[in-house]
Amino acid sequence: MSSEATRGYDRDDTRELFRLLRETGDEQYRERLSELHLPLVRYLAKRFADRGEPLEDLVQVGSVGLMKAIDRFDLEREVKFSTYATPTIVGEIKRYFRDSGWSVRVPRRLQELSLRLGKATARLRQELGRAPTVAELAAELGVTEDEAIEAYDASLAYSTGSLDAKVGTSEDGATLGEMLGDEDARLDQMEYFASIAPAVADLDEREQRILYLRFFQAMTQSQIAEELGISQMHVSRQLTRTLRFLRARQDDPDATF
Amino acid sequence: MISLTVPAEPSALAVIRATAGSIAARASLTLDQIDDVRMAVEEAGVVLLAAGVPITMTADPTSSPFRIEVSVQSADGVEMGRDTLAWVILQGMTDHVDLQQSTGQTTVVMQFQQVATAR
Repeated sequence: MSSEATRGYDRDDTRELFRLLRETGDEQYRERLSELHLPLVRYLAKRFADRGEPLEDLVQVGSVGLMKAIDRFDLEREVKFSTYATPTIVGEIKRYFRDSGWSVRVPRRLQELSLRLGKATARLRQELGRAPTVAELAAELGVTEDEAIEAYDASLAYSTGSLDAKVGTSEDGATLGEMLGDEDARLDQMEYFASIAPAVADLDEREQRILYLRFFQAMTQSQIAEELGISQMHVSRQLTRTLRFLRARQDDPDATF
Repeated sequence: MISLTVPAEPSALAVIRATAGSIAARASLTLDQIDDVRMAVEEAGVVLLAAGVPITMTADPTSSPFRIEVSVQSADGVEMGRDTLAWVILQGMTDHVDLQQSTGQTTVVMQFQQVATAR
C-alpha cells in the first residue's frame, strides 16, 4: 500500500467509497476500501502475533474478515466502519487459530489454491489417464510451477485428523483377496512384509491394503486411490504416515502412531 | 546438478525430503512420482543416517530418467540388506534403485522415469 493511499483517510472518504461501491458495484472501490483499512487489520493482527503464527498470515486472514465486513456494512448505520469491522476481523483471526482442518497452519491463499488444485488434479487425471505433472497442473491453474507445488504441499497438510476416519466403506462386500484374485500370494507377501516389519500387523486393514497395493502390486498412488475410492492425496498422506510408523517401530518397539 | 549436504540428524532429513520434492517437481514427474521421490529419499536418508556422518543428496532435474542420489562418505560403509524394509520401500518407490559401495563412500542411486507429456 502506498502512503498515498492512506493519506487523507477519514470517515467521509470511507462513507463516500461505500456509497460508490453500493451504487456501481465496481471492484475498484472495494479494493480501495480494503487498502484504506489494511492498517486496522494489521493493528488487530498484531494482537495475536505472539501465538506463533507469522504476522503476514494473520494479516491475510484478517483481510478476509475485512472483505466480509465491507460486503456486509450497512451505510444506514450510525457507526464507524472501523468499529463495525473490528469484531469481524478479530473473529476471522480467531477462527483461523481454532480451524481444525489443517494440521499445519496454512495461509488461506494457499488453502484456496490447494482446493482448486485438488479439482484440477482430478480433472487432469481423468483426461490424461494418469497423475498430472507439476507443469501440467500449473498450466491448468494459470499459476507458476512453484505456486502449484507449494499448493500441493499445502494440501498434504490438510486434515491429518481425518485419516483416522474411514473413507467409504472398506467392508462393502469384496475382500482384498477377492478384489485381487490370488489370496495365497497376497498372504505370502504380507507375511514377508511382516517378517521384515512386524509392526505391519498393527496397521489396520486399509493401511495394510495400501502398503500391499503400493509395494506388491506396484500400483501408483492414483491407481490405489481409485481402487479404494479415496483421493490420491489421502493415499500419499497415509503412505507417508505408515512408513514413518513402521520405521519408528523398528527403532522403538513401543512407538505408536 | 543440485547438491545438498546436511548433518547426520533426523531433523535434517526433512530438509532433504523437501528439497528432493522441489527438484522432482522441476523434472517433469507426476505428482505421484514426486511423492515417491520424497519418500524414497527420506528412506535412503534414514538408512544412511546410521553412518553418523553428513548426508549428501545430489540430483539433476534435467536428467531422464530422473536420477537422484543420497550418499555418505564413510570408511565403514553402510549395511542395507535386500531383505530389509528400507530396501523393499526403495524398490517399490523407484523405477530403479542401486546401492553403490566404493572405497569410503556409500551411495543410494534412485531413478524415476518421466511419463510422456503432451504439453
